[in-house]
Amino acid sequence: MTAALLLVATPALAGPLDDPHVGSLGFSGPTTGDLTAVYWNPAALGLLQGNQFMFGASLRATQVTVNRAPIDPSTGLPGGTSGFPSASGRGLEQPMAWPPGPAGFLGVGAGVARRFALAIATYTPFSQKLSFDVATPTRYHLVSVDSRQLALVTGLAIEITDSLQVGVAPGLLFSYGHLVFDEDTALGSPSVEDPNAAARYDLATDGTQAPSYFVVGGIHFRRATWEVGLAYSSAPLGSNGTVKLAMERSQVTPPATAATSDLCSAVGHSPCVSGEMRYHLPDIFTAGVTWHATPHLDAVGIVRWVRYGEYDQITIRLVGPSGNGLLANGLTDQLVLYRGFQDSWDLRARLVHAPLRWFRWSGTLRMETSAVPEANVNAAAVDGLKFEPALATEFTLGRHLRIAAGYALTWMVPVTVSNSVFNPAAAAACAQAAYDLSSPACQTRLAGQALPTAAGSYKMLQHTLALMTTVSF
Amino acid sequence: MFARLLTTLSLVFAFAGCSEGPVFEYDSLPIDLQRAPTAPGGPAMGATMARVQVGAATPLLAIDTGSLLSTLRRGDCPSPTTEPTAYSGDIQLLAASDSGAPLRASFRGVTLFDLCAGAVGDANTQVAGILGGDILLNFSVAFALPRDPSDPNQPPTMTIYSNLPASDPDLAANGYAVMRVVLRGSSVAATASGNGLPGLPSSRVVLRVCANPPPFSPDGSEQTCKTGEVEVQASGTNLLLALSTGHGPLVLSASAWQRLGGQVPAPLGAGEPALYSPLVADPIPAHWAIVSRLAVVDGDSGDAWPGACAELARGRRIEWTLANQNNGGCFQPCDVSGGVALPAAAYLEIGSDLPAAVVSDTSDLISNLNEDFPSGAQVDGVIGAETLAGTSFQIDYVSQSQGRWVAACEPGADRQTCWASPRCYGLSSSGQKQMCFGLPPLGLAPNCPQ
Repeated sequence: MTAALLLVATPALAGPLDDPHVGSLGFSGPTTGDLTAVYWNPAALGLLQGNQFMFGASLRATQVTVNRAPIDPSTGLPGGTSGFPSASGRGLEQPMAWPPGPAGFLGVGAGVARRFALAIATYTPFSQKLSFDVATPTRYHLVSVDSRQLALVTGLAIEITDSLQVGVAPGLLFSYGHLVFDEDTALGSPSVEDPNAAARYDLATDGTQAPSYFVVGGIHFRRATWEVGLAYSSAPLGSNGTVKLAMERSQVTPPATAATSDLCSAVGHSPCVSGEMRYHLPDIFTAGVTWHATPHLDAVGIVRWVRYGEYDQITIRLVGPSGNGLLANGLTDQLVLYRGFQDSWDLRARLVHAPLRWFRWSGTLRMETSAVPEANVNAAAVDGLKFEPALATEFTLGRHLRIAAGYALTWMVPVTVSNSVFNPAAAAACAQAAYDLSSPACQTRLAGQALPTAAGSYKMLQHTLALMTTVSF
Repeated sequence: MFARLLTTLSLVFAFAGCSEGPVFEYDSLPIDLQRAPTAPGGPAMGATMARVQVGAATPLLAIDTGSLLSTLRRGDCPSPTTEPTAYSGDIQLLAASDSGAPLRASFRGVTLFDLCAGAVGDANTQVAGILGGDILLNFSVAFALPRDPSDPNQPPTMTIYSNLPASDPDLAANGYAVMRVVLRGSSVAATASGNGLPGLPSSRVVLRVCANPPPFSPDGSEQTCKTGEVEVQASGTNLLLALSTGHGPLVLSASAWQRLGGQVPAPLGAGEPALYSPLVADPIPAHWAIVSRLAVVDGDSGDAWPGACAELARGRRIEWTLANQNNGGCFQPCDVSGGVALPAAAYLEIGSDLPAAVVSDTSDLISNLNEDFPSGAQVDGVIGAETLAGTSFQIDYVSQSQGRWVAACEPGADRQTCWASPRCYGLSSSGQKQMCFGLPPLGLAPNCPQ
């Protein structure tokens, strides 16, 4: 089945927002009867026996290299002689941070009265962390981003029959965001990408935001040596999948060419810009099959369909001081950052071998298709077809304690963007058309694509080191 | 079983998102507007207008926040006796700028009424329809109405935003006067024959106003006010006015004008220019007068609220106290509760010598403003676009359950023509520095002896 799914899957990405290793690295999945089931498939909580406590932490180091294609300095379009130095972005995600997460898992649960299981857990299903140098050539798309969605979930599983469980896990999603990028205020003029004309937008929430709601539901079926799990994790409910972040700690620094260097000087307090950021999160379908080939060997196939298709743009609305504020300084107070994501498929095949009662190991090969079409790739959305080998081991210490550790190396097939969707000439053309929305240039601007080109080559490498402790009692 | 589940899930997702509704397209950049004359022969500082695509023609379209409904006539104007019909149509909104008429916003699949709007400003300024509150209600809409209509670099503009994501205190700290407003006018439109027409949401912004308050300067003399005298010490006349960018001047009912101490000639409007309103088909006889100044004041209409003029007077006293605390200024007893000073309400004061059209209480315009809430407080008239010259304001219909009107003066305005005073928060925290009324950070002034 896994092989068949691999054959029909569209090449795509491991989502740039999605944590593919919630819970442990190498053992968890939609047929796994431990507390990570609140994320993977709440029905599998029904396999839980007794009480359980799990704590996991991962270190995820991401390195992105961007080599922008030379541009024509008069138009900003690719193909000229004005080159850029290579830009290197790095991100280190680990759970020991505030606001909490990402890359952590904490859960506690219990089987109750034979047919029920209850659990509560917290984890970070979506996150993105990447920082470039402040003067990076990628500045018009991204200087840095730190985005986290912390989930707090309660799970309930019911055993319908000996072989069938259903489960549901409603949860709260606490969001945090910090995004830094530049806007070329002279876009379309001869001085394309002039650093003196760059306004810096440094937008941040004040801690985590009031939560949105989501739910995970699933079924688990077992027959002979086969186990099958199916699950669905919703996007935020009640808002059409949209997350709204109040960016209460935001700063906008006018370009060097502006009359004012500090927007806040007139009102005597800082920060003096507040705003809201909106974007979509995907819903996720997950399916998994486990074949207990022998008492010591399991073969596992997992497929995740991450519906990124709705994640088309980030919209930002800002409010600054009255009088000599944003608009008076030629700064826009409504921005659209184009993303143009597509659905991605995450496919993994795994062997779990338990040669000893107190030891088992697993080997996983994961492939994930790109959530970002090639033309839409930019420093803020680097993605491509990815391959990830992973190894994990687990030791059982005594009757109650299990410790698992794993390592995964994620390699993205380098992406070369030759036909970037971002068109710096559209800004000038739209202005020349008096911002006529029926003009193609203004439609490009409206979609958030009237930005400096993102043509170039993109490489990404990710190391993930995970540790999970499970206590059964 | 799995197949059934997958089928069910597929159906759920197939039907999700099938709901139909209006489609809006806009870019949140300013849309250049045109101004109608304020009155026959008056300056072009009146009603705000854009253009609308109707076939190959691009007639004028009034932008009227005071209209409960949006209209766009199809073909020739029907006779006045023809009952209005509603239809689902599009408004392709074009800028009314010197550089042509570019498409600037699109409202597709909206409910429109096939009505002939009245002329606006004068008989020669005919509009094909009205973009009214029922559509604007979906947005946070900003207007910039410069004082100098002849400056080509500063045309009047309207900007459509999806929301206004800032709290009242944040807006106040940034210099905006935030008024919580009451949206009124919801009704089930019905024709004389009883044919039901689409219901109309409450979208008319009604503001609380103090008309003809005395001039004020923090350099002036102290105003005293003993406990319980807050209303006694107020000056000016409380009014309830609808915000209507489809009108130019301030429009007052005759009874409101008389409360201001004005005389109403009989017959009203004889020998004077008529008022042309987009809400009424025929010109309205009007007596033209001058209101020295007015202040739009934040507040509610609860029993405990002392009224716009009393709130204005309190705000001025508190400002005087803070500005003069180094010279012995203290909070007046009527402005103190529980030993601490009360907050000063936000207000926007506009002056001076504002043209006003006085119309009969029984005119169609005043009746129209009041017929949808006969049991509530009566609307005394309209604040038009000319009255708000030199201001920029945003009607935030969407960010809170009740609307907000967020106002500021254009940069460089002097206090006598425009003064936006944000709500002064936090006067109860001893030792805390305050930034209010454009003053430098100040400590807490003492209370005056009783």
